[in-house]
Amino acid sequence: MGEDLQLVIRIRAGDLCAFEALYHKYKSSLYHTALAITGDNGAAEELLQDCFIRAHAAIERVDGSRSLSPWLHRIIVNLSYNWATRSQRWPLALDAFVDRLIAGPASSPEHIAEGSELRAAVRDAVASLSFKQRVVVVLFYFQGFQLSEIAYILDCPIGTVKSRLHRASGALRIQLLADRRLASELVYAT
Amino acid sequence: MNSSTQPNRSRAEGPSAWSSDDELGQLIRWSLRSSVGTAEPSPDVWSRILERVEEQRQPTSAPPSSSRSSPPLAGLVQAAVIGCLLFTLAAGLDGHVIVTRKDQPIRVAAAERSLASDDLTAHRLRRSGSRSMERKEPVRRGGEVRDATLPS
Repeated sequence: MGEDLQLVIRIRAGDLCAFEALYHKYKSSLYHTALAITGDNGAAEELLQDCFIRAHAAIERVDGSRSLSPWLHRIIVNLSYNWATRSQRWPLALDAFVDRLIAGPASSPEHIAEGSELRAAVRDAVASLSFKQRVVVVLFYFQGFQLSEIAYILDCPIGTVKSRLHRASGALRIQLLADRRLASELVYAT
Repeated sequence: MNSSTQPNRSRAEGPSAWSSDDELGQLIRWSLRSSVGTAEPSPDVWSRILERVEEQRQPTSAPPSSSRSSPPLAGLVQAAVIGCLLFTLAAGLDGHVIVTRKDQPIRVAAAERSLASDDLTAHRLRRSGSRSMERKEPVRRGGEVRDATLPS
């Protein structure tokens, strides 16, 4: 019997310790996804909280024989979409996200200078992505989900996932790899 | 799923078109990991989740406690309501008795008057009816008599 299934059975029996174990198992992954999508720490924490509250309410209906990661990501992606639609502050959050994206690893002056160039390039590239394309990019490249799992998370056919990923990666590739400012950054990234 | 130990299964599973995006994928992964990969939610999140979950579970257990505490209060309220109703009914009955005693003759007189007028009207109608009957009967009788008295 899998670990997730055992947790599901215990949670269904009212064991809050099992629910806490489930939270600590998936909190980082879900938080990173929400943060990558929203670019807002407070929103990511709020979404993480709502995600587990909804998960607890729907624990009776989940198939515990499989990993709960796609199911939990499905909840938090839906919540992220609602948040983005409701708050309508995506461009502002995107700017803050790109600021942190660039400022994170670069500590030396040369990296700061290179990061500032990368900052402008990535901002232009990511800003061109729609919400759905951005979600696919995060789930595929960052979280490493399979295409079938992304199709389940987004509740759409695999072909739709492929087309979104193709368009998103194509747009990013055109804008990032064609930019001469990123030549040194690609070496740094690898 | 640990994002720090990211497998390459995504690219392995994806179509061949994705394999040409290795550099792009590495750039995206590096960027996202460096920005959000080390971030962690605050410890308060779990306490808030636990609080909300316990709030959701309370409505199922609340009715027994409220039903346990409600009988004494309900009994007092019921006694007060019943007392008020009895008092109101008693006062209302007294008022009705007085009023009916005063109004009774009038009502009776009116009733008698109406009865009398009804009787008079009926009597007149009966009389007029009988008269009309009496008036008509001779005509018919006359006819009949006339017919009957016709010489055969």
